[in-house]
Amino acid sequence: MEYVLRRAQAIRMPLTDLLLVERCRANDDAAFSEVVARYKVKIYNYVYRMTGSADDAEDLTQEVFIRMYTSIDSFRGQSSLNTWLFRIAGNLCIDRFRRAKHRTPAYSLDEPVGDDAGTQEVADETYAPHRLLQNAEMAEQIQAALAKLPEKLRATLLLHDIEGLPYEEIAQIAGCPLGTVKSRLFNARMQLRQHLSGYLNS
Amino acid sequence: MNCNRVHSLLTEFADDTLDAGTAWQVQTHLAGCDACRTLHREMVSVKQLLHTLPSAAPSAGFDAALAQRLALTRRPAAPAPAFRLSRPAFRTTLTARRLRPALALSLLLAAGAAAFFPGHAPKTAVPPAAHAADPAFVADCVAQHHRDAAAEPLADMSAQTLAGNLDSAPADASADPNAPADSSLL
Repeated sequence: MEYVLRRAQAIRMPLTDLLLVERCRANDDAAFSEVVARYKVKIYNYVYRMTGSADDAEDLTQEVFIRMYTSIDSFRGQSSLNTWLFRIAGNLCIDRFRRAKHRTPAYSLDEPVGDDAGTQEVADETYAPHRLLQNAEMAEQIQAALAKLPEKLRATLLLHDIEGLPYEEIAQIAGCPLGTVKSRLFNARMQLRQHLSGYLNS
Repeated sequence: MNCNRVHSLLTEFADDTLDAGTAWQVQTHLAGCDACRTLHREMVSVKQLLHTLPSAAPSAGFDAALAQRLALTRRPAAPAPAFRLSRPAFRTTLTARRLRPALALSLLLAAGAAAFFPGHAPKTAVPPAAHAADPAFVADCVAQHHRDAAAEPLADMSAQTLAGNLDSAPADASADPNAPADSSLL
C-alpha cells in the first residue's frame, strides 16, 4: 500500500485511479466498470469533437476501453490513467482518419463541389452570435470549423480548451515537447478565429 | 516587448499561465497596441465559443454494446515464467508442445526397426578347438562325408559347388566328381 501511495503521488494520479488499475489487472469487473463510468463521457466528447460523427465516436470510445482491457498489463503507470486513455483515443482517431483517406478520395472543404460549384457558402448574418450561442446551429458551426483544422492542432485545442488538460499532460499524450503544444494551441486558435470570423466580428 | 514576443506569449497570457512579471509586460504592451489587443480579444472569444459547445454524451446503449464487444474479446494471458509452473503444468506445457511429437516418432522408429530385423536365436557355444584338435574325430567326419556323398550324390552340395567350379577349370583337371578335389573345401 505504501508503494501505491508513493507511486500515485509521483505521477499525480488520483489514488483511486491507481487502485482501479490494480484491480483491473486482477480481472475485477467492477473496477473496470468504474473506469468506464468515470471516463466514458470525457473520452466520447473528445472523440466526437475529433471525428464530428456520433456513430464513429461511440464505436471508437468503446474501442478505447477494449484496448484498455486487453493491454492493462502493459500499463506501467508512468503516466496517469487519464493521459493513457486520451492517448489511446487520439491514436485511434488518427488511425480512423488514415483509413478514411485511403477509402475515399480526398476533397477540400473549402472548394465548391457538384451543383453548388461557383457559389460560396457564407454565414447567415441574420443570426447574431448571441442568439446562436445556446442552440445547436452554433455548435454545428463550431464543429464544422474544428473539422477544418489539421488533426494535431484540433487534438491540442480540444484537449486544452474543451477537456481542460494542462500543457504538460497534452505534451505527454501527443508525445511532443511543451513548446510544440503551445505553438499548436496558438495556431489552432488563430485558424479557428479565421473560420469563425463572421461570428467573432458580429 | 515587441509584437512578435507578445504573440509568442499570447496563448499563455489568455490561459493565465504566465508568471506575474511577464503577464504585466504583456498587459502593458496590449494597452498600447491595437493589433495585438484585437488578436488577444479574438483569441479569448474563440476560447469562450468553444466553452459554449454542449458536452456530447454516448447513447444509453453504450454500456451494453461495450459489454457485448468485451465478451468477444479475450485478454491475452500473461506469460508465466517456467520456474513458477507447477510440476503437472510444466509437464503439460513442455511435453505436449515439444517433447511428445519427438517421443512418438522415436517409438515408431523403434517398433519398425524391431519388426524389420527379427532377433536371432541364441547360439550354443561349442568350443571348436577341442574337436579340431582330435585327428580321429576329423578322420571320422571325412569318412562320414564320403559315405553320405556316395549314397546321395545330388544332395552333396559341396560336390555341386565343386562341379560348378570345374566347369571353368582346365579340362585335364577333371577327376572323379565324388572325390574330394580340395581338402580346403572341408
